[in-house]
Amino acid sequence: MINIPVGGHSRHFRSAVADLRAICVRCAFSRERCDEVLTAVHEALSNAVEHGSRDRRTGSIRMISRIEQGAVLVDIQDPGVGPVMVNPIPNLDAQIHGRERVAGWGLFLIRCFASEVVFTRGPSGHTLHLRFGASAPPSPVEPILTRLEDGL
Amino acid sequence: MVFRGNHVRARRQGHAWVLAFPKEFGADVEEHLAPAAEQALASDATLIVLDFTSVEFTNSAGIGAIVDVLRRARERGVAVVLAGVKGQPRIIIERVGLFGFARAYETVDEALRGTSAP
Repeated sequence: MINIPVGGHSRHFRSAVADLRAICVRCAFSRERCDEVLTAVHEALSNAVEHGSRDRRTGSIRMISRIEQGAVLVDIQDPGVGPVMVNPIPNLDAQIHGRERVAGWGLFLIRCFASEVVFTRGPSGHTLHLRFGASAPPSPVEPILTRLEDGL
Repeated sequence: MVFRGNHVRARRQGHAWVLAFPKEFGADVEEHLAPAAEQALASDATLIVLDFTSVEFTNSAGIGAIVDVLRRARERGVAVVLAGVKGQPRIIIERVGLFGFARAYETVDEALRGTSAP
């Protein structure tokens, strides 16, 4: 388990990323797939740090990863409230032509590289559950938002 | 002429500005890219080369920064190309679809040769 302070810097992710790379290697993921997994998790940690700060929460972000049936499972818990809705997939053409604000690429990359994306909100914060199979899904997955009334 | 931000190294080369990024191209670099790009766009250059030769890692902040440069360059009629994209940055840029909006070259020299001044 890795702990990162809310409001932390991306340099705090390094040990988490190193641990996760080792797990991907144990799963015999290709180098490209390892890069995809690490990219998605880096984005998820950045969101957790940012959202925890935005919601003016204190505490830490916890990341737990494990292997299950050849897949890498990563849970990231933060004390923030998490997303209340899932933003649509960003439109690159619209952003380049100024019709859409430049935003949304973090969650997009998570959706591109994780096989499952589940947000669970509870009284003490929110958790993002990610599952990574041996290859990326053919198209961005649809995230699932759930609510856990009894806490994390 | 050289503009050297903390994280982005910019140099004028003929008809182009070459903006070179460091090993990690994330939020720390994003804030330094905007002034470097603005300087390039305010000049008479017709091309901006985004040099990824040294970049080993990028993320959504890096992607957002590139999209922002493409948007501002398009408004002013300046071409933008990518050079030296490989490894993890290539995976990300490909997935986002940026190669459909900015031509990619193996090296900065190839980018400059392939886009000679009018």
